[in-house]
Amino acid sequence: MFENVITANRLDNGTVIYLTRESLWSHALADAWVAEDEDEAVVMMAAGENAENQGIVVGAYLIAAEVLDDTVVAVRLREGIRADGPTRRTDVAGADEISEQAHVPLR
Amino acid sequence: MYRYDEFDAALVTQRVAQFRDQVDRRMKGTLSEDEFRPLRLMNGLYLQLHAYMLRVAIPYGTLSSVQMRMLAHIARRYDHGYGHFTTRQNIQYNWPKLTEVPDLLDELATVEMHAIQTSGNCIRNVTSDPYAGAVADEVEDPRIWGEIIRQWSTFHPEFSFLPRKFKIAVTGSDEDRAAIRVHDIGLRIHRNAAGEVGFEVMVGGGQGRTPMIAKTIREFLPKAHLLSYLEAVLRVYNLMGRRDNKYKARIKILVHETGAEAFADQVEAEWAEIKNGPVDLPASEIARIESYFAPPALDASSHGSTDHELRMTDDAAFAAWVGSNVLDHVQPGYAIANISLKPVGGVPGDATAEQMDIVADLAARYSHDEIRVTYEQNLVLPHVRRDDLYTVWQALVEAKLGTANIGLLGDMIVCPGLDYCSLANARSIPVSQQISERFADPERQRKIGKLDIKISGCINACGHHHVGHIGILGVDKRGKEHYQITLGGKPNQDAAIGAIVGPAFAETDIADAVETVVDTYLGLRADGEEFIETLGRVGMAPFKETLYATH
Repeated sequence: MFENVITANRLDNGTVIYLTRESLWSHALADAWVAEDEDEAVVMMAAGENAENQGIVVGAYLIAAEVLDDTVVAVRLREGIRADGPTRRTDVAGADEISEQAHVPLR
Repeated sequence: MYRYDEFDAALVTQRVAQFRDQVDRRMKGTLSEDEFRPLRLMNGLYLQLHAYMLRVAIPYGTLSSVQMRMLAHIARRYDHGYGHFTTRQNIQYNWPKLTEVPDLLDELATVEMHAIQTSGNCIRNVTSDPYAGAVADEVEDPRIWGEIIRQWSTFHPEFSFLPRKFKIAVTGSDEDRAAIRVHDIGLRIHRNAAGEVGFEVMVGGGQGRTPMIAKTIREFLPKAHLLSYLEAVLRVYNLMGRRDNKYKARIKILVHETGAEAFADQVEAEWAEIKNGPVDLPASEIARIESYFAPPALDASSHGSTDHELRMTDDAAFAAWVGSNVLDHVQPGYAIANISLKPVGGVPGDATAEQMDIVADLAARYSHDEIRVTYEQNLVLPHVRRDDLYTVWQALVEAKLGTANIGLLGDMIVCPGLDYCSLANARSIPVSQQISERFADPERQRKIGKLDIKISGCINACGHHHVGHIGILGVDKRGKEHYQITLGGKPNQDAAIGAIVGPAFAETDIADAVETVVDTYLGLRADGEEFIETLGRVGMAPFKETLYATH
């Protein structure tokens, strides 16, 4: 089944973000707009390129995702780590900051 | 330590101002990402898996306390409270904000630091022996030449757009503590038969997808001609190196395809044209730079008291730390104290801001204000009085920096892997943590003896797996992390590339596989034999047999 989302990094601070159905950008993969066919993905990529041109994001690209129990999850480990952060560095400041940011849509 | 002159200071300050303007234009949209990317890379700023990553240069791995405190401040103010010391003796920050990087660089410049030559296809930050100036087996302090190379190579207009990145390492001892044979150029200071001091010049070493040991193209180069000879090597490479294929662009491929002898002939021909030109420094300038590396004012009357010996007898944990982490200093009564950044279950090479501050304080008080970073991702206090070791050790233990495992199994080189790196195929850090937890018992590690495990998350080999006694390479097999084991690599004067032992292991099996290799060695070793010696004697077969017997 074709299920893709668009991810990128914020230009100003580099953090990982995802395009939402409202054409906003969220730090949470769970908020991502999931394209269910190639036509929808083309529309999403156009939104990504537009955001690049506006200097909001950098390096937008499509990733494979799937919806499990109503939650969007990445198919590849690499993208799972990008979404959730390093798997082994929970003992230092900063991890909380990222998780707090995770559900703040960017305008 | 070297102090910036007005030219160094102006150069770095101007570069920060330029980058501030470039960031400003990027944010305003007048620079596209394609235009901006090479500019940010020239300032050490990458875009990694999660965020921007800034690599800060630590020339030849030498830091003062003030500089280390600044690195701690940067971690706290601009990052997430920690930094990662790398195999090129640098430090990386994983979370800086693009808009704050100019301010960060401004602050670094106040302590004579920067991120120049930490990225791009230029001559990268030069590396060296972390014990330089403190060991007895040294012909001369290699940092003098590291600094001369730094000054020559920084913004060198001819070598700013080489076919690929270019790494130079210098050592002043026969014992190689800088892995010079796996660098694009390795330089070993030594004496010739006439007693003159010069360099053995090795070219074309490297790791990555095509690992190679450097070839000696000149047994003895008089010191005074180093820069003109390096210029000749770089000129031949710049002209002849491949630019059509990124994977064949390093000088190792050129040397391999040309043949070391023919390559040396080309270098000699080029050198003959320029050796008496303006490139080489006058003796007065060499002496000026040399003066910055004068030995610290050590107490010649200090020979270590009975108090130190009593501590060794009374405190087994301290004695164990001295046994693995402390080395003799050239000056009797002093010692070189290694600080392991490899606690059990920790992230190899990481240090928190608080730990950096503590190391800075200890260096200021007990090590003549000097700290070194090793390519094995540890720190060093190079000039500690033996009588101060116990106090230093106690402070290190309290800061969780007192792990007694230098050179032992737990002292692994580990790249950031898929936890941070956008190039990686598999994670490295969790594998190292599994292994370090499996072998957490320090007594067990001491019984195993010297053993280098090195882990890379992809074939770019930032974790030096090719030269690990046990090398571990992460690969992606149909979306799952797997790990290939190599055996027999060596990074030092007997450098060798490890050989693949067999099919890769799943993440869940890799710690078991390492344990099998270690147990096989323990079953086979003769008295006093290190792992690498046993492997050399018995070969791969017994290890293959035990590793794959049940597969």
